Amino acid sequence: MSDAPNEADHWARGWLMTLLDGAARAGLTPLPHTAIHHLAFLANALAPAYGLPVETGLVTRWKRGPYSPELQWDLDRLSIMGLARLTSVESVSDRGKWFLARYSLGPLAPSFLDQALAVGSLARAHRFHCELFAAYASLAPTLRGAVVDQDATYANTVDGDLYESETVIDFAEWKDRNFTDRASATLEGHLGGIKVDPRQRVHVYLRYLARRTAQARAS
Amino acid sequence: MTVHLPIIRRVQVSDYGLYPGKKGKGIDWTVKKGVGVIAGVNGLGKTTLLNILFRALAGPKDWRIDEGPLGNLDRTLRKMRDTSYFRSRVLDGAAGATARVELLIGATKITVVRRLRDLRVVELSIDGRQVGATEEEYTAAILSASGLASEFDFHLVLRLLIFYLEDRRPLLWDRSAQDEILRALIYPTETAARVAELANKIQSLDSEYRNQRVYLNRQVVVLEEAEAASAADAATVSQFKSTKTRARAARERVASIAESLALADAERVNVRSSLERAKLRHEEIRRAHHDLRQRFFSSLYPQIGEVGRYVLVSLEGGAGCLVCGNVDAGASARLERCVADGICPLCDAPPARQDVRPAKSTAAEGRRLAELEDERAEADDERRKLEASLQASRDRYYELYEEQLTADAERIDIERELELLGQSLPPPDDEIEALRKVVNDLRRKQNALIRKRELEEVTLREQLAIGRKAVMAVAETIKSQFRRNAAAFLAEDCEITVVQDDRKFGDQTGTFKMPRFTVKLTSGVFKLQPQPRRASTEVSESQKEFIDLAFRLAIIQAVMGRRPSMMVIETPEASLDSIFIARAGRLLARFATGGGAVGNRLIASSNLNKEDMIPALFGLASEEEYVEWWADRRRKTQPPSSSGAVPLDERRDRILNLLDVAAENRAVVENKQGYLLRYRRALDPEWSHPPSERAARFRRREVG
Repeated sequence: MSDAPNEADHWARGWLMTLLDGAARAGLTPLPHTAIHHLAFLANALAPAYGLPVETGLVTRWKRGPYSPELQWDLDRLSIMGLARLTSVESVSDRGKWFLARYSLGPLAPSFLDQALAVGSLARAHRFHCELFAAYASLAPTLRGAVVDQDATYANTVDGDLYESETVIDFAEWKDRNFTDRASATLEGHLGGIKVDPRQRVHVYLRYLARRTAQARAS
Repeated sequence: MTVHLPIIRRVQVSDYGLYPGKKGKGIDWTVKKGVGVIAGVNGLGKTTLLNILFRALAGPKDWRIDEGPLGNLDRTLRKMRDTSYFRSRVLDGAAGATARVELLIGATKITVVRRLRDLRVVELSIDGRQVGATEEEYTAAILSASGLASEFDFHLVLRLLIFYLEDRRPLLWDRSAQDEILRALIYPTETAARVAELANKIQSLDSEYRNQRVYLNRQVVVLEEAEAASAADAATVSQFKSTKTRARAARERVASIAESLALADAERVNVRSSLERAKLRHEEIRRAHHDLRQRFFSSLYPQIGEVGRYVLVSLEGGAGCLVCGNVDAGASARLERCVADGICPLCDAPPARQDVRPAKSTAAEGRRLAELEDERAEADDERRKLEASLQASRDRYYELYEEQLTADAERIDIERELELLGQSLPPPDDEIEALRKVVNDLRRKQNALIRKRELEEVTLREQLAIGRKAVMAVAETIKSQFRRNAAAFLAEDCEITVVQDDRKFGDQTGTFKMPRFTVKLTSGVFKLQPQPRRASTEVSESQKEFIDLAFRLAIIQAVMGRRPSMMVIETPEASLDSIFIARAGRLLARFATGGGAVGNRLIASSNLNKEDMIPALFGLASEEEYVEWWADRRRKTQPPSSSGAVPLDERRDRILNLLDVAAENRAVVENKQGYLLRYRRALDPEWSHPPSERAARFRRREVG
């Protein structure tokens, strides 16, 4: 959160807009901010599986799931700019005071996205985000909010005990330890020789997470 | 033991396509004492027949001799690799062809029958008694009968003395050949065998010594180089040691930096984790603040809507301005003061001048807000500190990282330097020690070989002394025989003398005195004093041949005395000028008359195209001598040089006429009459008859 937004900030906001657009195309907007944070993390963790660079390789395992103050700031900024739309802001008491908010594309989003998607790298990220949200949308709504807890990176025990209140996980910043990518690649081996492309891999992985979530709940 | 040489008394060649013979009976030739001539023209098989005679005696074995002088030869025989000589000359591969030769060696009669296709003995009888038809039996028989020491010596005598064939080797001109033939013929049998055995052994030891020496020398060079390097490279060693110390220090430094780097990494990760947690805590405080303040802003700006309220709460809560992105703390502090003092945030109007009454916080809310302010200030402070700390730990990490890169580059340079120095270092002491051991072992082995060889040399010297005595005992006879032989056909005065030559049986062996014969000859320049001619190149080509033949004959004559012997000569006329043919013939004829009661055998092949040779071999004088004699009517006797000539009626029996027994080639088919005329003239030359009879004889011949 610097005074003057630099190129990286612009890029991050463009990236976030493609994520929001992915959610919009999957019919998921307005999307709770928590889901945006969860999906932003999954998008980063699965980016290598799709041949894309990781935007943020750091996540904190927290009581409320993945949450990035920087991403939240950008979301809010986009909302004030008219690129995103902020709705349903409310305060809640959830293990302390917290808030709820929903986000969707703002009135200026279409013209912004038209220009942004002319940038090849953003267009590729956009395609991936659309696929990610499509996969996410195909999951049972009751499971969606918890799938991230089963993610191989987020739930790893290498960086800290699962019962620890706050564990900072570096999967692609200073370290190269992306268990999500490895797990999604390993799944291919369990498909009876069926070859999967990156798109399918995203779907397979999210379904896998959903199944694990269901199993966890059942147990 | 007295030596006896083989004499061929009868030759039979059966079922061999080259010699169908009269009515297919092949060749059956009884070789009478004295001269025997194998007469023919080119291509009728004179050489093949002589080779049959040689192989009948020698069998399918050969010595191991290269071109040039005999030198230090291996005195053993080996099986012939190629026995196709006789097979390849006939269409049927000599399938059923045999050669039967009756030999007399001393008093022993040996009859050997060999298959011509592979020279195997198929029949063998000794003194009329059939024995096992094997090569071993045959060898045992000839050695027992001849008194020669070994089958090699028998082969040697055949090659160097008895058979004077086209592929002959020089004897007088080859000193080592002389040594061998004198050993085989003149040394006592046991001495001859012992000398051959010792010479072979010494040569073998010498060869082994030389092979080992080559290896030893190589090892010595390696050792010397290693020792020199070890002595001379003290500076390199010192430099190597210091570089090694530097390399160790560099490695330790790299390891130490790596350790620090790991600590710095852990530190920065730790600080980052704290910062991330602080951010979340700050976020939670802000959200709590948000909850408490939103009622205030709702009452102040009822129509501002949730976004506007969210912006104001966010700003007041210290998150920064969502409108412009300013996160300066001053903006939130101002709004905070406005809220606290009830001043309008837009126009700075005090509460007294306002017509709105914003909702007041309850006391509890006030306390909570105050607490949150404290917490937020504390969290902000902590976050700032952590951000500074993270920056510092990052800087420290990258500083150490760069330090590690530099240190590692230095380490690599030093280790490369060390490696290069290591390559130029002398070998380690234990390696030198191992080399010394190898060299010492090899030297010990060399010395052992030398001692062994020297012991053998002592024995050889003793044996050679016995042999030398035996040679010297017959040297004078050989010399006088040679003088007579040479005088028969050489115009120059020619004699041989005995010299005591040095001989070595290997590169490193001692020298041994060997009695050898060397020739002296007068010439156009040295008319009175014969000059030594030690090399064959010092005489003319025809002189070389005569002298060597004369020497061979002299040895046989001297050694055999009145005991019978044999010489087989291939076309002696081939290398003779016509003027010498009669002289050579007389020399050989004289040899043929020797050999006591049993008598010598002189078998010569001769080409009918050169008709002077056969009369000469029968002892007839040359045409020139006869012409002179017929002209001198006062003389009653025969021409002096023809006094021992073979009588005319005996001559036919002494000739094996290949025109009769050999397969006719095209030249014979086309010119047979002419060749037969030449044959008759060779048997009975015109010039040996009175000139008055010649015209009538000529007429009779024409009619015949």
